[in-house]
Amino acid sequence: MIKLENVSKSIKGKTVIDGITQTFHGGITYGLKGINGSGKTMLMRLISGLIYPTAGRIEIRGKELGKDLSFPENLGLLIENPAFLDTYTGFDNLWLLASLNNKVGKTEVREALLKTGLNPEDRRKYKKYSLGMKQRLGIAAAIMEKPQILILDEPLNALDAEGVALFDKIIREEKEKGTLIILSCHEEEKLREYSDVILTMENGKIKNREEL
Amino acid sequence: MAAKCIKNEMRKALFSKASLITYLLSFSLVIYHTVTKAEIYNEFYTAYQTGEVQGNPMITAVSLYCNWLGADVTSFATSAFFFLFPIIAVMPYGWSMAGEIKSGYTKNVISRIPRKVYFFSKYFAAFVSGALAVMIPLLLSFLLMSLVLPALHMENIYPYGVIGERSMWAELYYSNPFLYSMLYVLLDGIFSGLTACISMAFAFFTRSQVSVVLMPFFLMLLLDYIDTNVLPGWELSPVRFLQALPVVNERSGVIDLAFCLAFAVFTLGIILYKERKYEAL
Amino acid sequence: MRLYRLIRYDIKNGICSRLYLYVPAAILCSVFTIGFYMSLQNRNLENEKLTIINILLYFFEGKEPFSPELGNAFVFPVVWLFIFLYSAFLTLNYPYSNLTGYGVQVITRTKSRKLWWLSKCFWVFLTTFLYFAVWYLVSLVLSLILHIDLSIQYSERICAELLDMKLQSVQAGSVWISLVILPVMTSVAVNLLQLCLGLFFDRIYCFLASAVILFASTYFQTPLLIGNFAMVKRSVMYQENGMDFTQGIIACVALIILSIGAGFWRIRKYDILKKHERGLQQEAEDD
Repeated sequence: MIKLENVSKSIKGKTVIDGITQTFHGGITYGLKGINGSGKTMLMRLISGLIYPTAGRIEIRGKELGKDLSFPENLGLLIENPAFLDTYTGFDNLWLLASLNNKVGKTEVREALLKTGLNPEDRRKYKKYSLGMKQRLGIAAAIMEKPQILILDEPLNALDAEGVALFDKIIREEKEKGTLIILSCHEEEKLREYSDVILTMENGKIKNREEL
Repeated sequence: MAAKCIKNEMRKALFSKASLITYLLSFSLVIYHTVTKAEIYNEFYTAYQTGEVQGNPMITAVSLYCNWLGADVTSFATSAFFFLFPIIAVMPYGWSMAGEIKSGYTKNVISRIPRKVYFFSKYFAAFVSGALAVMIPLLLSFLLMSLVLPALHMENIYPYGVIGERSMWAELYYSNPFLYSMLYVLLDGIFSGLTACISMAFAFFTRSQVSVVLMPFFLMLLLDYIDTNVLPGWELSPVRFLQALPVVNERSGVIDLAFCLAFAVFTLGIILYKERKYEAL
Repeated sequence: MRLYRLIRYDIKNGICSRLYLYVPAAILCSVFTIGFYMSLQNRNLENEKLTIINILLYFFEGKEPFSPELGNAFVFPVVWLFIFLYSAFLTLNYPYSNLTGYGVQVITRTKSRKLWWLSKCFWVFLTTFLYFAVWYLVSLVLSLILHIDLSIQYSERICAELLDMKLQSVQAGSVWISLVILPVMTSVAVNLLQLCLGLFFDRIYCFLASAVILFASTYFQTPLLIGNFAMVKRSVMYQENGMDFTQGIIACVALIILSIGAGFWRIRKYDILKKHERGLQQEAEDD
């Protein structure tokens, strides 16, 4: 469970997140909706521990982020444009990341690649990947370690119809596992399809909460 | 179209945070130099007035023309300024080509205007920003020092602030030191502008902005090594020959010109090649 | 265990995949060594017994104490500066590439910012050691090829005539400290300071700070400028009131601890953002 208590964030004098109080429960998918610059990505960065609040606190399972925890445990993250090492293959890139925590083995890495429609045996280097393939690799990196918290910023960017269909399946599977999912998407229809709760953001605040 | 492009690039070059920081850093060197020199002059003048100075005071040693930032080859500020000039020249805008290639911004531009216009506008802006980054602090130093030190004509009978007759513009130094100093400011500006252009040209070969900014700096250090150890005789190192007084050897106008031409040809050559062959991948 | 994996990752990505950056160091070392060797002939010193210690003294001689009052122009020690500035350049880019793009995936998996910082500090240590190892190894190999004596002795005449250096009574221990321990420690200290400053400023300004500190060390003889301890011509080996070795080691250790500590403090609350996101206010004003 993630609890935000009156969380605000300012960067160089500009308020990007303004007094958000919100609880995110495990097993529920939260969709973030809002125009560009409304604060969706910044909120995701706050929850994932990449930045810390200027005011307020963020608790993850009773532990305060920034004090008791640097980053949430069991986190899967897709934020910014996916970026990997140019001279490695897709599999090697993921394996390098997986070996940091040793939570999963090569089998799980292969499974994650297959789920996103990528070939684990593909020997092409990352720099040869198309935009859609890069996005798929980013999704694979987020799900491969069986996270309990999944944060996905615009996961459908650059995905073709097949990629979107595979992503639909991934979301369903993660929901069944009880993963807490926070995602943003500009396609309203898709957002409603994935989410149990939609939070509409405007000027760094949560303007509306809609349970579906 | 070209005029608009140049105007945009100049605006980006001259009114950026990087430019501001560069000027702040170099101005702090200028202020430090001025204050230390003013203190030394004050001590000298007090001693001179009270008659403490015995014998020939060799008064030209405190002349403006051998003590401003561009000429005071014994001071820390001058040595540091010329040591760092390759970085000072590049910092305002020399890195911008690398940054725009890396971010993909070049795609937006070359789909709207010819490559030639874009690259030459950038070249011009890099040259001007590099030149000004060095010229303005030098001029400021000259101005500030002229408020403090006497503008005495130099004389070659004393050991201070002397240049040999073989040296570039030697006659001018003794007959019209003000013009000599201004010509050196101009020479330093041209060289710094070309240094910033080297950085710009190098951007076509690497995406690393750090490498692009520091490459001219290491190149100048290498030239300094060659000057010191391999080809002594004339001042070959730009770090040395850009100072208005000799550091080790005499300066040759031919060498200065050769370097300027070499840098100009190299950088323009790359731009001319790339404006036909560049692909925004 | 996590730290070990992070270090292993840094060694793989920060050293093994960037080995090409050590090639210029090897080339430079060769050029400087051969240049020094050739200069013996120009000074009719071919018959003098050149040793590897003479070569290392050439690399790390630095600059004798400088006095502007004498009216001599300041000529900076280009070889010494090259060695230390290239070391600073080598350790400049990699750690901060770990805070954007792919690096975000890495740091969120470490679960601890402090561990991430510690592993980067360790990477700086390792990179600097490896860099100097390249210098010493290349000098050693070239000495073997050029039949240069590998003993701990050195030719005083070569020192006096080529390096303008007349050393005080020198023991083997002093040679090790002044030519190996202090240069490496000084470089580690400067590079760690640069790393720490990178959490506050842009990388180019951090390199500029390192360059200014090292350059200022060649001009001013003061224990406050750490580069002084890495120059033979500023040490007690060269002048009676020169820089003390013990003081040098203490200063380096102090700067290392300070840099690591300051980094620990800063990384706790450091916002991991893209560069353009840091300048939100600036961009808004520019528009």
